[in-house]
Amino acid sequence: MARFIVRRVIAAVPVLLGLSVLLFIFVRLLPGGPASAILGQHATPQRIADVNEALGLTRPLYVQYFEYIGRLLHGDFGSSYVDGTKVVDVFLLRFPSTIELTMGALFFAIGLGIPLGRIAARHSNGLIDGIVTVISLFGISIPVFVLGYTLAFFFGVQLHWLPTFGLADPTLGVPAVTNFPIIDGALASLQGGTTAPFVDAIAHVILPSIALGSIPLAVVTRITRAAVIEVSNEDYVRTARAKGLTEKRVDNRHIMRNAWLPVTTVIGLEAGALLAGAVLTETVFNINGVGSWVVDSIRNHDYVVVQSLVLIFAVIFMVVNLIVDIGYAFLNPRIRYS
Amino acid sequence: MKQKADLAVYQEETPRVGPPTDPDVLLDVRNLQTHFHVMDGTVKAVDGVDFSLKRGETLGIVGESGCGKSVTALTIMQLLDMPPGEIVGGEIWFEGRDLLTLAPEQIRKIRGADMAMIFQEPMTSLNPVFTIGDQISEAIILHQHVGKKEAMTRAIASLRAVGINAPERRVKQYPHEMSGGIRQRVMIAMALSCNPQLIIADEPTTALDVTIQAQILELIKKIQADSGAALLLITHDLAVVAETVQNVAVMYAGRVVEAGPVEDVLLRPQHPYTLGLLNSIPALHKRGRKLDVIKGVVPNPFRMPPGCKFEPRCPYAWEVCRRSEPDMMDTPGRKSRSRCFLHAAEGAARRYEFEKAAVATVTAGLPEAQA
Repeated sequence: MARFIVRRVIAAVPVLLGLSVLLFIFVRLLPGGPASAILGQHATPQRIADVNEALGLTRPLYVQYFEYIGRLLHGDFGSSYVDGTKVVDVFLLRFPSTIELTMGALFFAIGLGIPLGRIAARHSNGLIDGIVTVISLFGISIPVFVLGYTLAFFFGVQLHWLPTFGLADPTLGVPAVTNFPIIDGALASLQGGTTAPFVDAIAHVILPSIALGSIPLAVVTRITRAAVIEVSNEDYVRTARAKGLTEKRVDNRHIMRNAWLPVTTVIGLEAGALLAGAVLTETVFNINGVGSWVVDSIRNHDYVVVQSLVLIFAVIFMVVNLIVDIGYAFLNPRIRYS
Repeated sequence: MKQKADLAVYQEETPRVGPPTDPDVLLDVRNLQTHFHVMDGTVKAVDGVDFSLKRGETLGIVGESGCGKSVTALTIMQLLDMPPGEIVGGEIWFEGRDLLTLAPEQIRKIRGADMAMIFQEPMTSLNPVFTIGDQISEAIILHQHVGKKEAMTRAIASLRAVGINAPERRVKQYPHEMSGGIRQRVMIAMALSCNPQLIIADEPTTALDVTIQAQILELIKKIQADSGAALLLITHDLAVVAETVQNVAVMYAGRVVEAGPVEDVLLRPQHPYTLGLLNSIPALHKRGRKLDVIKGVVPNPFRMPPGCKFEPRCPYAWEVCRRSEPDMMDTPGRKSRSRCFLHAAEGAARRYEFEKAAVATVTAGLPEAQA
């Protein structure tokens, strides 16, 4: 297993290098530049040239690229052209919110999708199966922002059940320790002896998680249903029954362990898509995450920030996929040694 | 409550005669009917099958694909998918209890413990994500109420009993690390692990290489003899039957058409279908000749002939065969029985021609004649 991980990490290096080159070129192909974003639309050509000179953007591209890579290798992700903040600082501040939102959505999608898929498979082609199919079709076809605003309207504005703004109530004055609202809330609850901050953080993540998790929920449900039906018809399931095992054990052990394989693969793919989908959800629910930051940086032609953020996203995506592959290898002995 | 009510209706339709009187009879199948309800109608896959099996005895069921032999086995094990399958009628007496009147929970306790099954496809019949030690010991833990460690020890012992080398190492392996022959040995070990009274083997050698087939057959014979379990062997291969079992039942279109001791059925066949099967075996003395086959095809399950089910393909059929279906009949001086009018009074005149053909086939096929 260690060799497998090392090999995967080594294989990631050329991918990241190639991606860094492409990113470097793509962000510079965008019309306009950081100078006009900083100076506004009435800037004179002379001022723009001065700013470009000051930012070092007039030097040859390859010099800029190697300088950027050189700094990256020293752990320096650079600073924003626009407001001078360090990418690392802003990242550490905003990224935990995005992670929390993404995890919440995954938790919702897996926690609900797998039972739903199993129920649908058990009653395949019956009424319950039909209802589950309709639910998952809704999940896939409703855009995240429509679902987000609808949820916010009903459960926040109309019913006042759940908060719809941010991931924590700032008036509670929870100290930022990890920047993960739920963890910070839990710490504050432990210290203050009141559950309020923790409950508040949980309540805040519910609606955004549902909005963001609706598409993966639908996908996980469909895949689980298909996998369970397919595995149920395998010869080895009949063998398990022939041994006299209880239906419950046949289901939970012999069917599910095999059905998990395709489900795991899909969860890995969806986890990557969730990071992208987080942008919209963060906007709808006013969450200070990475997603909105990426959008702003692209709009400002903030080259360094975009490059670094997308690279970090790529690394995260690779790590998620590596974790999924390790999980897959753990579940499937047939690929363990290959 | 519901089950009781169902049972009452059921009893009105077919009077039950109770458990077999002979205590030696382990399995007694009576008038078993298993139907499949599919889109185009109902397929009577098993349509009134009778046979019985004594303790420690071996019985082969032979027949073409689709004759209902595998469905019979799955019905006994109660492993059919229902729906589309439905056990419409009959009785399956096993160790003094009619399996068709038992609750699923009671069946489950018998399955794997008192009767075990070996399947046709060793490549797909083992779960790919568990070690074989896990898969064998699972049943032992369940039925024999022992701990994990003791179960693993017993699993190793049963692997050793089926001739697997280094069983201590093998139990930790996964199915994909083994060949088809070894996997079938594992399936046999699994079936053996709880010392069943009855082993049902459904085409256990069909999916294997010819060289491995003989080994597995030898192994099944050996473990049957060693354990004293009764064996129900299902196969389409008459050679396998000849080598492995004492009694044989020939099935055609969901019914037993001929049954008896293996040497009677194979050397003195009484049913034209059995004779047809014997004729279609490739043999040395037929080298260079066109293979004899039974003319025609198995009848369409939705349009069964009104009389004898074999009549459309039978070279000896005459008018009476088209009108009504024969019952199983005795033949004087033989231990086997057959479902053919040739052995009824009205067939006496035609019997000679059939007997002549049967003798010709059998003597030509005898080993001495081939040598």
